[in-house]
Amino acid sequence: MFISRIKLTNLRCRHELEVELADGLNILVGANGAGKTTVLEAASLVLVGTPLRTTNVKDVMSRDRDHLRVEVGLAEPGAAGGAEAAAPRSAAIVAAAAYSRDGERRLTADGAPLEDAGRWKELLPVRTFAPDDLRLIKGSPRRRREYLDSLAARRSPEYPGTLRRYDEALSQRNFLLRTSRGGLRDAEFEPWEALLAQTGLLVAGWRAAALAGFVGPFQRTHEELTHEAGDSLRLVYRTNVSGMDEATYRTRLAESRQADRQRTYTHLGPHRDDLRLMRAGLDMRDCASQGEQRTALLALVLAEWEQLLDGPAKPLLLLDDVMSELDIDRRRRLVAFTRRGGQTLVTTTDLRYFSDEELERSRVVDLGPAPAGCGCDG
Amino acid sequence: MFSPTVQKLVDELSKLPGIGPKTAQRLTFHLLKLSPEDALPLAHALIEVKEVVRFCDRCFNLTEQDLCDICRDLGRDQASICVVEEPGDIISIERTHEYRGLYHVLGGALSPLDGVGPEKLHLAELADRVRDEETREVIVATNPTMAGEATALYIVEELRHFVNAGTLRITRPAAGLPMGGDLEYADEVTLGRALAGRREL
Repeated sequence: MFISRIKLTNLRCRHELEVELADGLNILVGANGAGKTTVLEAASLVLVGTPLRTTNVKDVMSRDRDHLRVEVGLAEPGAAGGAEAAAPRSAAIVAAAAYSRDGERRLTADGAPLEDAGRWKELLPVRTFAPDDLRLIKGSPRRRREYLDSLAARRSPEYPGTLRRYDEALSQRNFLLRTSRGGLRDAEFEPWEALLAQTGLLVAGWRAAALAGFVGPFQRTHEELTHEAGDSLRLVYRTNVSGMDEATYRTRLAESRQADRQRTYTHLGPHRDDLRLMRAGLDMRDCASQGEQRTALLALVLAEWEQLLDGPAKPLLLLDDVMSELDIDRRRRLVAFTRRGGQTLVTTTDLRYFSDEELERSRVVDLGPAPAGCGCDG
Repeated sequence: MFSPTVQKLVDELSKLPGIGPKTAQRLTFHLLKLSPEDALPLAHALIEVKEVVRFCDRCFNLTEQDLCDICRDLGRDQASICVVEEPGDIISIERTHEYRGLYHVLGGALSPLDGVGPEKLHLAELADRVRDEETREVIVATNPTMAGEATALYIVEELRHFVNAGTLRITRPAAGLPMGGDLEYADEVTLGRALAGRREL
């Protein structure tokens, strides 16, 4: 599947915008504020269910409007794929999302209501790179755990269910910690701790295995992108249950009940896992420049995107304003990456970042100058 | 909006599981339209069920006497107890005709978040029965949910000294594939457990 058309209403500073897209590489060009990122935002809102850089939809709704709506036409790549197939085609499915300022949300597939964006994740998984969004590297571990989860879920179909079971046992134990006044009764804690040990080790094991299978592709991607030896850049899985067996895990939980009760929170377990990007033994969060962190993030996104390319549904790659960040060699290599399959939407202020040959083989969508009276970025 | 009497019926109906205010209204209007001969049997059935039906003194199954039919049936294996969460689970197991022992209904499963601790369930009574009835086997047939699993583990701990003394074995039904099912369509969890619990042919 790929996006053949996006029509949006009241998103950021565009009250109305409609663009036709092709399979393969699409270059969205325009002045600052012309609505390039807005097009990516629209794709993300419908297919992922959240905006690009925020979790609050109101942040991307046009300031003076009380609703926003996005319609995305999805099509199967036809025989005449590529930029030549620019003629408007009828979409196979129309995916739409509408939000009101009071927080109401309506997702539909060909007009039929949908619970969530889950259906689109199967049909057209999305991976996004936005240079401002270094949260995966610099932010809280929660995002990195989510990243690990998406790697592990693709590898082990049992993973999401086991993670849910782990989370349930964790909430039950945390609740016992918070509510048990006076003595902590062993017999009440033990069943939940046994289940935590059982499922926690499975979760940690699957995460470790998924990451072990991903370290190579990630290093390769980073090397290809930078032409630097990638072996100095390492992805390291950190868990406080490493090397434990179930019995040790249970004993450690039992021993930490008093301390955990003081803090009303379970401290042992994979819900505290983290993923570190290390270079020469140092955490990239602390020692790398912005540019290096961005390149590492781009390699993370591309490596995962490339793994999706081998899957049943070709992924959609959204690259926001990445070209200005890269030198000319890296730009060439990035464009070559996107040729490996699937649809890519890349925003840029300047077509000179692309070679003539690259422009010829891509669909260029010119969004022109910014609409009048718009002070926002995107 | 409604007269107090009508509103009371709507309120009472909407307390039932799966019945929201809209459905409660619809049911109320339906009942209002019925003739007394058609509507009153429901009221009588409700009164009767609450007056007559109670929990079995021994196993907490539903019964109209002190002991339920199963507990009164001396032809059943008196040394085996199958532990279930709810009385409805007994009906499911009885339908299999594979089990001829006794039951013990817990009345739910452990879930601190829902305010269900061990004291809210008939767990102490289970230990008493195992001691007094010289039970040889306890089959823990709680649901394969986290709450059901935690309850099973709790029971194992509570009864461990009988097991250590060699007088009791505790078992749990195997998780397996549905009969007539196709391997291709089995979910990974079920198939994985069925493989882990495989037996000799």
